[in-house]
Amino acid sequence: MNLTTRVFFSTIGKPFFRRLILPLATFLMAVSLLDPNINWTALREQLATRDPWQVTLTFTLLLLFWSITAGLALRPVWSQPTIAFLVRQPIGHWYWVWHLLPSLWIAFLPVVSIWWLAPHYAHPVVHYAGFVGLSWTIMLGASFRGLICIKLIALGTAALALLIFGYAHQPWVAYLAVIVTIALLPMGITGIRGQLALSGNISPSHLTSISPIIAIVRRDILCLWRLERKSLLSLVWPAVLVTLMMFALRMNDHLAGHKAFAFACGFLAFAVMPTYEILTRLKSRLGPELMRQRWPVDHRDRAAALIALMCVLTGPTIIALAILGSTMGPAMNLAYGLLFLLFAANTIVGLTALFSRTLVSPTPMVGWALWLVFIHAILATALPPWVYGVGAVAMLPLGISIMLKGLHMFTHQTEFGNLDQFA
Amino acid sequence: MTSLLEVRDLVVSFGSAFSVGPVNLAANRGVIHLKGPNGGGKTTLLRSMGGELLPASGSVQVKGLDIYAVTQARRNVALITSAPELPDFLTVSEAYEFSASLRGAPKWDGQPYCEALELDPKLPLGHASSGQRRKAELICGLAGDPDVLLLDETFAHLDDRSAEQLSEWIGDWAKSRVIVLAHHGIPPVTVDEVLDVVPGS
Repeated sequence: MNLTTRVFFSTIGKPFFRRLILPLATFLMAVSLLDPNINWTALREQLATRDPWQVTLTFTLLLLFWSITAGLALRPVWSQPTIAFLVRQPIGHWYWVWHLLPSLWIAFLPVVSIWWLAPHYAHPVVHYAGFVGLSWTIMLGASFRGLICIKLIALGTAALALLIFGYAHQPWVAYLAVIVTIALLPMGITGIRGQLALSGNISPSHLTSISPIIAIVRRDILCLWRLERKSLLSLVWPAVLVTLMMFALRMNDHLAGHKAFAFACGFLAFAVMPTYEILTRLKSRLGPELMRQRWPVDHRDRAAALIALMCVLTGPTIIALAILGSTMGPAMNLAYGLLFLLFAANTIVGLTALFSRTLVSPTPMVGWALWLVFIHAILATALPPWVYGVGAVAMLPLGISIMLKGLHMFTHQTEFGNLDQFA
Repeated sequence: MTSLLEVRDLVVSFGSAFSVGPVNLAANRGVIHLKGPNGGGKTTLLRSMGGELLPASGSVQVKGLDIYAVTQARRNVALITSAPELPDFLTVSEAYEFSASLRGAPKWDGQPYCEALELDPKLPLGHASSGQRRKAELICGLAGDPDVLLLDETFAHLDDRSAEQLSEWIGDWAKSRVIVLAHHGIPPVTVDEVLDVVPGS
């Protein structure tokens, strides 16, 4: 591998592969689940006997779906500083294509698998090269923002559909597909340069608030929404999963009393784990702007804002679990309902306290956070309810005081960072 | 009678490596020009007067309230730093709304300042030029109409029209507020008092 290819691979190929792991794993899982029930060869033969428009619709939708999925995984790659450096170099479109294709090869494995189902009338190399290449246009289109995204997806999909339809009648259309692919490739490459010049218009939100605490929470949420949307999404999946599991348990197992409480605690512990990671990302995005000493608010306000932010992030899961596990609540047993709320409050305060300690530490202590949540869940479920209740009430003020101390130290260190260098 | 801004024997030091002060100052209005060589401690003094750096000794009071001890006292002081500090993901309007909310003045409107400085309130700070960024930081400093303005090289990066506009504003503000201006050379505003800042002075 020469140096240029290595640069392309490390800048584009590696981050793209990392982002594609989940969609690829999902694709493989779907195929392996379908495999025992489907005779692929028979399906292929059956597709050959279908109306051309049915074949066209099936393959166009499948290829479109995968290409857009891969394109979305590619999207963040274009915002790397190295891309701007590469775009500035005096290299042409074909040079880009030549070095970009090896970096994106992994995305074409599912495309080839899908297109394997289509009976081929032309030479196998042309059969695959033409149609698989067209999905490149759609994938690149989906990876861009702005008008070029719509243009490339529309053009690529229309060309793909027309050519698949034509291929069902005439084998030479496969050769035409290769030519169309070659014609569309430079347009996709032009789009990369366009991504750097995008103004990135964002619709302004309002941060006006009577309370500085609410203003800080809104600013933090805006930061996460604009810069860490993917991290926020990582919070949704566990929440949906535990909600569904709690629902399933309730329907099938008639949960009640301590059993419902134990499951709700376990599920909540699992679902809140990504929130700690989100807080550490917030810290890295905001840096000293997380809380400045010269702001006319003190560290107690900032602590309240952090707790409020955690409540916003974990609130929906807590409410969903509390409702679904409501057999532990007022109707059956009020004590367990209150215990669960105490568990949720302690989890939030504990994670926020640990986070505020890490503000002055170079390591994010993610492992500590996981242990904290895990051990807390075990204690909540294993201890007699009244013992846990007393302990949890006692721990709350301790957590809050640790948090306040951590934030106080953070503002002090942030503003005196230069002092340490002198001393 | 307490002064609007009162600085008493203020000494700021970074260990034994650097120190500035003691500085004494009392003003109810007007422009105070901080002048001195590069690395003389002008920015350090401003940061300390803004409530950011704790001094080695001395005190800073605004309307009789200690700026380091009383959180509310910091509502009346704005430090506009020479280096950009606002986060990139905010737009100009969001940034000044946030500053105004922190200062307890959520209804403060920065739109007229944006218009006067020809700055688009919807502009994301991450896409702003250094001059536009400087204007945005200035407007954020003005949020909530603080009584004491600490301006650190605020005229740098501004185009001629904006610099002229700022000079005009400083002239107006100086009638009722205290403006401490760190500036190399002769400032483009009428100065009421000049304070020489030299390290260890």
